[in-house]
Amino acid sequence: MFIFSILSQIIKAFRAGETPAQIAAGFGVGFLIGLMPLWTLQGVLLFLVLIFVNINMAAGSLAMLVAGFVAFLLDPLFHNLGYAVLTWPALQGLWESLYNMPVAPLSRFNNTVVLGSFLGGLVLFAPVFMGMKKLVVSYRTGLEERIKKWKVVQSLRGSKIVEWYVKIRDLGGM
Amino acid sequence: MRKSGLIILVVLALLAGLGYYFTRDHYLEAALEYQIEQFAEARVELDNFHFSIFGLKCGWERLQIANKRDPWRNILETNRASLDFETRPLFWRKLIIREAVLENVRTGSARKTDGTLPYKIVKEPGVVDEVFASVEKQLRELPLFDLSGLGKKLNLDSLVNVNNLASVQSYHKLRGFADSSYSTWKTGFEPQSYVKRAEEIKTEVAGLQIDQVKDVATLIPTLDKLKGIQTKASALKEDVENKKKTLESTVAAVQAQVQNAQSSLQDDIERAQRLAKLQDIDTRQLSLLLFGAPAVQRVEQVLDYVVLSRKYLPMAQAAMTSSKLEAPPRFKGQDIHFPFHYRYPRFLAREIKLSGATAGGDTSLAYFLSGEIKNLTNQPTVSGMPTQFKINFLRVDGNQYTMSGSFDHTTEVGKDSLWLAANNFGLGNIKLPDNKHLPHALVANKGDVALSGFFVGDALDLRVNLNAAPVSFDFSSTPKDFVSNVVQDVLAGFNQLELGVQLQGARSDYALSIHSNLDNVLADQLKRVVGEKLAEARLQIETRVRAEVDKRRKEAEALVENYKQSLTAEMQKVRGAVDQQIEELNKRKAEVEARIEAEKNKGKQVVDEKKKQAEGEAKKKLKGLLKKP
Repeated sequence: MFIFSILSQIIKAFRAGETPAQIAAGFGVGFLIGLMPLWTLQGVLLFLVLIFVNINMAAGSLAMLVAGFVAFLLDPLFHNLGYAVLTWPALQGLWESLYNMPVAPLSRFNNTVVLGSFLGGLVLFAPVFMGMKKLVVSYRTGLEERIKKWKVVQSLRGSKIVEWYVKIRDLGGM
Repeated sequence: MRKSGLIILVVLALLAGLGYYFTRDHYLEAALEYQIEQFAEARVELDNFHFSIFGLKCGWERLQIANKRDPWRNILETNRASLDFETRPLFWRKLIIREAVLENVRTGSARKTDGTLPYKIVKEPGVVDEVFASVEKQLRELPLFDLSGLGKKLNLDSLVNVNNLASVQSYHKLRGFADSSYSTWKTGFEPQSYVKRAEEIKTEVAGLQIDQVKDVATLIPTLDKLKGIQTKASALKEDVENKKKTLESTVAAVQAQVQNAQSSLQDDIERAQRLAKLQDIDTRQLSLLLFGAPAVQRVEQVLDYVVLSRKYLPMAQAAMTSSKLEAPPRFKGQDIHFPFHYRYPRFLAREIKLSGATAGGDTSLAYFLSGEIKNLTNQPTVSGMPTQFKINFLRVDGNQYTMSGSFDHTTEVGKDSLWLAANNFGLGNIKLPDNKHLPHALVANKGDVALSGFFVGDALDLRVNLNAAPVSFDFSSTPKDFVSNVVQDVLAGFNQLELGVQLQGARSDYALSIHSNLDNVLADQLKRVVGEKLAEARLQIETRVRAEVDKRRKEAEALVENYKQSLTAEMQKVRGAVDQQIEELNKRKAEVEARIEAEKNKGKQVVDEKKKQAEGEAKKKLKGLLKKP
């Protein structure tokens, strides 16, 4: 039921209520959290941002699930990226300083997958944010109506999948 | 800013805090018990463990560590303990104990439950296992101290079983080898074939009828034919010489077998003497025979500490790994380490203070323990300081033990040292190995012992000196033979034992040596009493073995010599026949060459004379022409 609830809330948010930027920001932060191993200093801080800042938490939760799957696929890439950055000679002074600071090691920045996925998440944050914002705006300005007119959608009306969709939508009170 | 977020966070923090509060001590207690069990290889019980995250302290009311060798007793038991942690290293997830105080530490206390672990800990063989494998092999190979053969009439027929003597068997084999070699030669040599080829050469030369040839024109082709026959003769000569070389190498192989058979004689003599229980009394081995096994048992206990230090204080080599892992586990990645400016290992106890007493009330009977352990860490290479300890264990006006040591694993090669001094302590009843002539136990009331051990990498040098007095030896029965009688007489007058044990070596080659003031006294007395009888009996056996072997040796050597003579004579005959024909051929060839040379000279002389005659006539004619006007 938790997943239904999240889906219901996100559909509700897509239709109206929060601004597209709030939904996109929630999704972007959730995506960034989901890409990284959870128990790091920056992971906890981003989680607090998701809770305290007025952005969409449902979008963030969904993004964490999606990003978890993406992280599984891209794990070797993140390891290679993290290793390359951590062993880049020009940055050795920076890493050494961080390594010797009292709090910085709690971020586990010296782990290849933690750093690689964090950097990957930062790079992906802007496109994810922009893409999600555009999607919400499009959905609200006519995409929903156009989707309803698709033959595939019409033929599916009355099918169990659509009934399931309506059920989820109604859970959101729309 | 969202207010609901703050509420969610507070609820989550409260739930986590409550969960931690109710489970922390039990969880940590179980985890700590498990870790110490891995170290001690026996059951560990911690009572009332408590941990304060705000005060950064932990402690317990009671700790029991069972003895893995005697699971109904504790190897260590303490009462209240308190440990203070340093705050700053926790930021790097390093656990540094500033000071630990363990009260009422005692050892050997009785347990109410069995201390054997319900699971097995898999141990990899290490340097100490190699040491004991070497030493046990050495003890197994010690000669048996059994002189029961002395004083009895020797039954030489049963002691010297001819068929069991290695040298007799070697001579049997030699005869077989010589027979086989001779028969192979007889079938493969065929001297007649070489003689026949020599005869053919002779016939071919005779067929040329050299004496009948008169002119040069016939002599030259005859010489060519002789040269062709000479090529054949050379091939025959080469065949014969090759065969001769093969014969010589076969003879050399048989001769080598003769030498081989001779080398077994000394072994046969010694084996027969052992069978008759007539060995030399080796004074160097007596202490090893008598005290080797009990000494090894005690040294093993000491080396257990070194094994533990090697296991839990890894060397620098094991701690350093930084090359890239190609496929680390998913979501785990690889930690890259950078120069760390603080000497914080993952775990370090800077100072552990120990105190204890075995009994209250009458302090004259109680043992008092005091000691300290410094720099106990699982990463010595990071802390840069060796782990050191010093423990005193004493009773007022009584015995006293001092144990100290240093485990230096700050470099790639571990350097460990141990010192132990025990004064005025009771050794008790020490069981000695079973031997019909020797005592089965040593009883020593008071003694002093000093141990020093140095372990560098896989090399070790361990020395123990024991001085015990008064001592007495227990024999299981009254002596039945005169050797046991001598041993009992000598040991009866023995009151003080000075024993030195040394275990040294490196890389799977370790040797145990033991010497004592008993060695020379006992060995001299035994040699004096049994030496003459021993020498006489040994000579009897040696003479008998030599006689039996000599008989077989002469037979075998005669056979070999006979075969050698026979084959050499045949070979000589063949060589003679071939050499004769070659000599004849060479002679005939030289004769033809000389005749050709003579014919050539003769023709040249006729030509010269005719030339002179023509010149004279020409001169005369020329003079006649000049005189005419």
